[in-house]
Amino acid sequence: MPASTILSQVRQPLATALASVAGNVYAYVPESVIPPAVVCVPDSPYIELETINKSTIHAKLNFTISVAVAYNSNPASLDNIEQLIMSVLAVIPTGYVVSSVERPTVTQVGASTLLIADVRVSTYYTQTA
Amino acid sequence: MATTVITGRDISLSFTGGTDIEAQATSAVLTKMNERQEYETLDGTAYKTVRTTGTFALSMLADWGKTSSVCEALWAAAESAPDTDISITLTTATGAQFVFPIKPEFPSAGGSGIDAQTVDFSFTVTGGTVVETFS
Repeated sequence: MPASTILSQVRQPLATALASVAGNVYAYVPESVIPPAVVCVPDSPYIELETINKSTIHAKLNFTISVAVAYNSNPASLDNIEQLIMSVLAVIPTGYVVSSVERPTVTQVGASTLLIADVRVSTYYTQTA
Repeated sequence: MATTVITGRDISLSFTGGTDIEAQATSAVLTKMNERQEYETLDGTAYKTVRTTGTFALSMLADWGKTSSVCEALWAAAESAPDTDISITLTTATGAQFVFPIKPEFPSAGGSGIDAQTVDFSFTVTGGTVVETFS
């Protein structure tokens, strides 16, 4: 197994950087989401190989940071998710390109109704032995 | 014979100075051309190659601030020794290697808010001199 993994080098550090926001932060898609929540999810395409040479893997990784709040009343939930999005944008670490924030949508996750918006980010990962 | 396909990921590239260019480069293209003059004679058109030129186009992700930064090394070289050659070794695939000197150029700095910062170079190959090794 390689010494570095995407989890150890990218997803977990991203989740750690997001830990200061007022929500539950996950470096993976959890079985159940407890709002407010911030979840790092692979985007599509997930891995892009943009650089020359293949002796060492240098890959662009695309992620969606899904920001979720409880959907109780529309104005309050929208205000809550806007504040959570702004706090996420403020702590995204250097080395990340933030491309867009998708519009919030109401989504049923298990028994919970959530207002969710996706923040699309990308970064670069180098596989080390 | 089977069809051969090589891609940009088959390329290996190194600069003198030891910067980690392969981690940053997204495209590397060497172009060598003959400059040929044409003469209309009574026997028809005659051709004479008078010199050979070369350019090396390099696109890369900017790496300002990184240890062994390519951008910083090229900036320093372009500032302190603009007429001193940097040797490039480009291997397009196993068995096809090109070694050539380039004159250093200043990288651009900055970029747009939505994208990764990138730098595009068009280096002059000094004297159009390329030493190729085909096996």
